[in-house]
Formats: sequence, structure tokens, C-alpha cells
Amino acid sequence: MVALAGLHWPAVFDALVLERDAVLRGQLWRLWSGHLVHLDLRHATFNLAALALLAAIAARMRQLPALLRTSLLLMPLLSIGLLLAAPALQWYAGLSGLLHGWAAWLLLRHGGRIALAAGIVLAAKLAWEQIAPATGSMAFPVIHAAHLIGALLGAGFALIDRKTRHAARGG
Amino acid sequence: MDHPRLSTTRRFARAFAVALATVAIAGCTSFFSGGGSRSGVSSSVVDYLYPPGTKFEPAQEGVPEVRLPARVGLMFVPSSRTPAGLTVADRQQLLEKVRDTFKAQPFIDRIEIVPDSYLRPRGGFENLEQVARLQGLDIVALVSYDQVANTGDTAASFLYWTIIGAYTVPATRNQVSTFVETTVFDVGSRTMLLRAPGQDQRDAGSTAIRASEARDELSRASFQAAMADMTTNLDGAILSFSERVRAEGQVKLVDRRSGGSWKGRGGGGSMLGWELGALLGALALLMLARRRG
Repeated sequence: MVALAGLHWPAVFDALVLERDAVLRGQLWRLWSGHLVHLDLRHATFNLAALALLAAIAARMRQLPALLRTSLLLMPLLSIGLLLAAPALQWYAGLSGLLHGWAAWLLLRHGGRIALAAGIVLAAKLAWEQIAPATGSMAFPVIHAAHLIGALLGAGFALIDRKTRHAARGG
Repeated sequence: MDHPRLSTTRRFARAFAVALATVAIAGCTSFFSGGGSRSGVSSSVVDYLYPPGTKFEPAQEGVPEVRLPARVGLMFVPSSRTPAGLTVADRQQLLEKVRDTFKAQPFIDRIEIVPDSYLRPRGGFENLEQVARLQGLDIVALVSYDQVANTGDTAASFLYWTIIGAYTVPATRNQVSTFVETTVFDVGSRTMLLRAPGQDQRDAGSTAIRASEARDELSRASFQAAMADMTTNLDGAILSFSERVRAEGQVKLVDRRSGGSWKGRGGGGSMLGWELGALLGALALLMLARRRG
């Protein structure tokens, strides 16, 4: 709903987009809301479709509540990481950074050979985006750094979670 | 009711004032302290955009909107004569340097050099809009120049009419003075966004400047130095423009993609078609595995 509202009303987009100067002025909600707004209908459609598929996978794995809880931390950390890693970037909008975090988190939570193979594909894709960044057919610059930071944070959260659970079982 | 004689005097005074203003504005270059002889070339942005007889008509009321990131055209203001010694390749090279300064700016989508043959001398905004439509431009950067080789026995200053007023360059005898200026306009709103001047003066020996080859070489070097000075000033002018827009809000910068306010360099994170396919495949595999298990 937020994604669609941002598309229809520029004022909503302006109030929610992750904007460096505004965050520095204290508008901290943008660290979360920037991931929810999109630049055009195609952008929103692709990201919302990926969100639905990843949510379905998480639900099948019975991990959706844990993933949503993790997202509350993943979103602001991804925003801060992006603003620090790309000092020239003034603003960012879109879910895909978070979705890459979800993918990495789910792969590590699932484990096994198939997850390992999928993880290698994900790592190769992220490396390729850094080496040869392509905008694809989108009508705006695609910020690939968000994908990389999101995946690293997602993997990091999954590993911390795994260690915590191991420690709890051991204790 | 006015006395008839007084009224005639007033009418005469008014006509004289209008004539004086017209003469002052029509000529882009004037000289102080006569007696100095000169040869020079000029292309004035004032002459080009506001030829004599043009009435000033703002294109839109209220705060003008400029859509960014912009497609920018860079060109010399047309002139019947080019600076002595300056070849077409030189002019192209100089514009490329200016283009490089703009290129790094986040508000530029693309920037291209437009041949000045596309512009009609004294063509006004109508001509500029035609070129902008033809080339698909939102913003134009017009480079104008004035160069004077002062060969007389006495010193002479020259007065250059920039878009914001007169600019006096003091000169001495046997000297080449060059003034260049980049003036950036949003074509749709006919709004001047920023300007950056550059100038150079260099002396020659009293015999050397009279030799045409030496004068050509001096003119060329002076023009290139003035352009380099302007390119340096352009960086500052762009920075000052960004600060002015934020502080004073003279123009509204609109993001052409989102329709919201312009925020500088940015973008979106987006999934691609094949990634959706891969996720769909992963979900199908998971469902299959659960069914079998």
C-alpha cells in the first residue's frame, strides 16, 4: 500500500524516501520507509512480486515471523550501511536491498546442498553486479550496492541467529 | 492638465532616454577613453537572446520548475567572426573541457555539444527552443565571448554586456583582452540558472602585436586561458547555484522520474525478471520436497 501510495502521490514519496540530508536532519523513519517506496509501477511490480515469492518460501519454511522480526533491524542497518558506503548517493528507494537480505537469510536458515548451490549463484550475481553494473531496462539508476549490503546483513543475521540457537541448545 | 510646451519637452526627454538605453544595450562592446584602436570579435548572449525590438515576456508565472536530471546542450553563441587563430578543432576541444565539468554533476542526464551553426544570430528564445526541441534538450549552456586586441598608442578599457549587466575590463596598449561567459538556461521556463565568467589579458611587445601571425597566436592563447578560467569558475557557480536553490528557492527542482522534488544523485534497488523466475523455481522445489517428504 505504501509502495502504491508513493507512486500516486509525490508528496508521500518525498516524505518517505531514504534521503541523506533528511536523515541527518533527524527524520529517522526514512531508514525504514525508504525501502517501501518505489520509483515507477514496473519497479514496484517486480519488487512486490519478489516479496510475495520470498514470503511464500519463508512461510513454507515456517520462518516468516522470525524473518519479519529480523527485517525490523535489517532495514535501518541496510540504510545506514548504504549511506556510509556510497557517500555520493543522496537518496534511495526500493525493496530489493531488503529482499537480497531475505534471500541470504533464508538460504542460510535452510542449509543443505541446494541452499549452498543457490548461495553460490547469489554470490556470483552480486559479484557480477559490482564488476559490471548494468541498469537493465529500468528507467532509473539501479543501486547495486544496496543488494550487496542487504545480502551481507541478511547472512550476518542468520549466522548470529544460528550461533545464538546453538549456544541456547548447548546451555 | 500639462502645459503644451512642458509636455513636448517631457516627450522629447523620454524619447531621448529610450534612444540612449537602446544604444547602450544594443552594442555589446563599448570603449572608454577614445583614441585607442582595436580589432576584436564578440558573440553576446544578450544580443542573441534579446535582439533589439524584443519584448521581455516571462514564459511562466510563479516559481519556475526545472526538471532534473536534465538533458543539456552546450554551444557557442553564434557570431559572424571567430577569435583569431582559433580553429574549429580548438573550439570543439574547449567545449569538451566545459562538458567534462558539467558531466560530473548529478543533475545531468546527458550532455552534448551542439554545433553553433544550428543557432541563428539574434535568434532569441524562439530559435533556442527550436534547437532544444530538435535535440531533445531541457537546459542549454551558451558560451559567449568578447576578445579585443588593443593596438593603439593609448590605453582603452572595454565594456562587455553580460546577461546581468556591464562588465568593465581595463586594458593597456598592445594587449589582448578576452572575456568569456557560460550562461545556463532552462529552456522550458526561460530561466537563467547560473553563469560563470572567465577572462584573460596578455601583453605583447609593441611590434609583435601588429604582426598578424603573432596576434593570432596571442589571441588563441588568451582565448584558451579565458576558457580555462571560466571552467574553474563553473565549478563554483554550480555549487553556489545548488546552495541558492536550497536557501532561496528561486526555482523548483523537480525529479523528472518521480515527479517529486529533486534530491540529487540517487536511484532504486530493483529485482530483475530472471531473479523472479529463480525465486519461483525455488518455491516450486520447496513445495515438491515437502510433498515428497
